[in-house]
Amino acid sequence: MNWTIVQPLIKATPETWARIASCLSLVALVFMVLPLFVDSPLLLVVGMSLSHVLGLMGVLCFAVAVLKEVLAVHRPIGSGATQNDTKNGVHSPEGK
Amino acid sequence: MSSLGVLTLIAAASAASILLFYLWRGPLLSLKWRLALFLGVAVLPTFAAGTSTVDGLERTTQRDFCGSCHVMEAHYDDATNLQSTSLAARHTRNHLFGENSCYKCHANYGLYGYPLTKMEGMLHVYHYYLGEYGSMTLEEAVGKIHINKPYPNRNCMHCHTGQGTFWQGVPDHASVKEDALSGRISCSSAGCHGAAHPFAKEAQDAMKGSHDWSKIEEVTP
Repeated sequence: MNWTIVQPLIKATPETWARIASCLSLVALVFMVLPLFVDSPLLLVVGMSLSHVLGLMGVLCFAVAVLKEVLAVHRPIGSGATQNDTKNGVHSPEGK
Repeated sequence: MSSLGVLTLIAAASAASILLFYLWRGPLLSLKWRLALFLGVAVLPTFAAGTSTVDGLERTTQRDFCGSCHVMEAHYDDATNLQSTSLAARHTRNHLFGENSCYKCHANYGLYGYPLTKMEGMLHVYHYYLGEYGSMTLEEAVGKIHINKPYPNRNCMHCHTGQGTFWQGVPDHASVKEDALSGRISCSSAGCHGAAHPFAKEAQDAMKGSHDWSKIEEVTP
């Protein structure tokens, strides 16, 4: 397995995971809505299948984001940073 | 658009607005945003998925959906032809079948009938898009396409129970009752009620060279 691809995901912040979840859910929503407007049997079948898969992946990514946030596993040990320690919307070890 | 479609749109639009706002602002994952994203990623899409799936499955039971593949045009046209006397056309003119006449006759009415019918419907999608049906002309399709397995008499008897005095009073029914119940003779046999679709009969004739529908099990896959 190519760990160089996986490692950035493991180290990613909860916000990154939440963005991935948001994007997946948005695409899933498109596939849920599209068959309502386009009269195509193929789109109906593919749309229903893909929307469920992508939606589930979105929920899983969101669960990872929440777990990382709650457990704070994404922050360097000893940095002293918490989820409320922000500076201009970015996690800051200074605590400001 | 159906009421379920409208509900799907409302739920999807609400979820999309939350998600787009989050992507646009890019805030930290505070408790407030966690709850908002829970709505936008999990709750609303789950609701939208449910309503869109029910709406989509409902649409697959409509005759227009069946007729949307070109290889079914002959069957569709015959069923909707007011002058046709085929079984399919006569049942389609009955309001109890109406817009869902294909589904009402071809559905599986067992305990898990609905999902089983839908799963079997996926075979049609496979044959059309990944098999040879999609590239067939209508003339080729009429000659080649045939029912996947023998049409079960129990689907006929779902409505025509065979318990009434009128049904039992028909001499032919009395003489073939056992064979009809066991499936050895099809209700749509030549000499009985005839093929439901004239094209299906022609296709079977081309394959078998005769009208011996009592042995239909031997020729259909």
